[in-house]
Amino acid sequence: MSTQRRAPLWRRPFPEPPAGLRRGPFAPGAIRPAGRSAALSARLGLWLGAAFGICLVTGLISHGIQHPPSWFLWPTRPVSLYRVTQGLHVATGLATVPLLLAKLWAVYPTLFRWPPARDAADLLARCALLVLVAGAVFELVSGVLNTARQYAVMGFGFPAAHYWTAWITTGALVIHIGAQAAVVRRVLRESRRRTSGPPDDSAADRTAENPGRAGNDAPADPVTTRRAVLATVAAAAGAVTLATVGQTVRPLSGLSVLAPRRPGLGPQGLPVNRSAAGAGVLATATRDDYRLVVAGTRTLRLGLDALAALPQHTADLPIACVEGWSASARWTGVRLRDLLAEAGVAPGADVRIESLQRSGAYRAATLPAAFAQDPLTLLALRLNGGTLHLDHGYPCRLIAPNRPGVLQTKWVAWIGAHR
Amino acid sequence: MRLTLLGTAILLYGVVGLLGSSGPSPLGRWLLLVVVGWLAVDTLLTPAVIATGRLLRRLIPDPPDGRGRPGRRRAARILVGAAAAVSGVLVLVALPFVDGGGRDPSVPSALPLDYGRNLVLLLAAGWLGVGAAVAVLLRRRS
Repeated sequence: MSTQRRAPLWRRPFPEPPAGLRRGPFAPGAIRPAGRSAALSARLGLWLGAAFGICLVTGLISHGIQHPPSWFLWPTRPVSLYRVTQGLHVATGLATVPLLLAKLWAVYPTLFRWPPARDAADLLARCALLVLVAGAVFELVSGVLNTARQYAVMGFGFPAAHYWTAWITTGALVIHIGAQAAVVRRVLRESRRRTSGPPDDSAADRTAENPGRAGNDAPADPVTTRRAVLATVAAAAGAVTLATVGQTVRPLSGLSVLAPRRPGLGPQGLPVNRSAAGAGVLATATRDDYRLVVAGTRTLRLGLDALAALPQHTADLPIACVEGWSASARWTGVRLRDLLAEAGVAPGADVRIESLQRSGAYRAATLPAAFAQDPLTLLALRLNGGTLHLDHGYPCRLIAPNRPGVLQTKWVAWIGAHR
Repeated sequence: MRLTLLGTAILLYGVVGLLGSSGPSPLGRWLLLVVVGWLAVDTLLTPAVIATGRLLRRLIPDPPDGRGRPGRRRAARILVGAAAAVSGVLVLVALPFVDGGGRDPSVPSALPLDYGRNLVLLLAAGWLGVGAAVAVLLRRRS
């Protein structure tokens, strides 16, 4: 009787694949990248993990505001909080492009590891890795395409695709962290222990996934030593950030020559995401018999003159787009809470706001009660001192603190308690 | 093991959502971009980066033992490699803007810049600086 326990099913080694299949990139030594090492992969992995963490949290915030579950509470202050979280989301995503490419370059030899899978558990881990890589690439590609408004290239609904792929990628990342955390800790410990020697020729610089193959991957040439690679990644991330972040950080807008927006550029000094023509409201928004309907226990029908005759208030609030750009502006108009009180809408009620638009995902929005009652929430008639431009929502638009631009309904036609 | 289970649960949540009614549509286009994106990185981009590294080692080799200053040649090579990598990333990120397919005549404030010209100017300025630095590094001492 044998006392030795058999390995669990998922750890039983697969039979060795025929040696004849080990060709092309799988051939021994076929890919011998200079400068790649486990210490480099580990550091890039840590940076990448932090970047994905930032994108995940800020992305969930943006999704939560637009599709709030019952437990989700988003404050009305600070007024620019969403501007910061979404600006950070897009800027971090853009800066992650070089980081992800460097990481995939650093671990490239392991893509052609031999044997491709040692056992069932290894096969599953490698499948999860494939999901992680493909998911991460998709998130960055689709994010950049969306900021460039390349909706036709994608051909699918971006928000749903970006959101659900984020969960899939996060799951694969957690699996990957579970598999690699111990290796990363060991590699970084060993790497830190050597502070005086050259960075790329120690045990710490072996390929993490292939610790026995250090000889193959030790760089013959330091074109890309670890420090140079990390500095290059930082430089690339910095360059991409500087070239685009001016779309939300106004003082840098002159430097950001690749930014999708210029905060001061647009009608009345403010960019537009959807024009009146694009929304199909050119005719209805300019009709003389335009009436805003506010429905409560009483129904108010207010023309532009009636709205302008009500007490006017001014607020400096940003438009913060989900696509990452943002710009502050001075809005003047009627306090929403004054209109709601006049119509007899209960102060504790969430409020629904509908546009003159006939269709479109953002033709209506729900404003939580805290926002509807906020003294800064206006039905704006004027922008930066002039009558609201048609493309900014003439005759009147919603402007509330700390909300995504897509929820700041333009060309408002109807307001009432949300049912 | 616990992280593996947690990760699997999160991943499955994403898959269920993706396939559910609130998922993207059409799913075939989503899958197309997933596969094309992954293939582009692993079969085109990364091999191109590796090939560029090899080319650089050939173009700016270390001098034979005892002659010249290998430190300067290496620094020049690292600088050129880094500049190539940064340029590549900038081109990649700028491509959808240069292409301009997202422009809408009714929204001139979206994508308002001449991205092709700006990208060329940005790269030219960068490479001018790198060229000057490399020239200094590789200059022979008289």
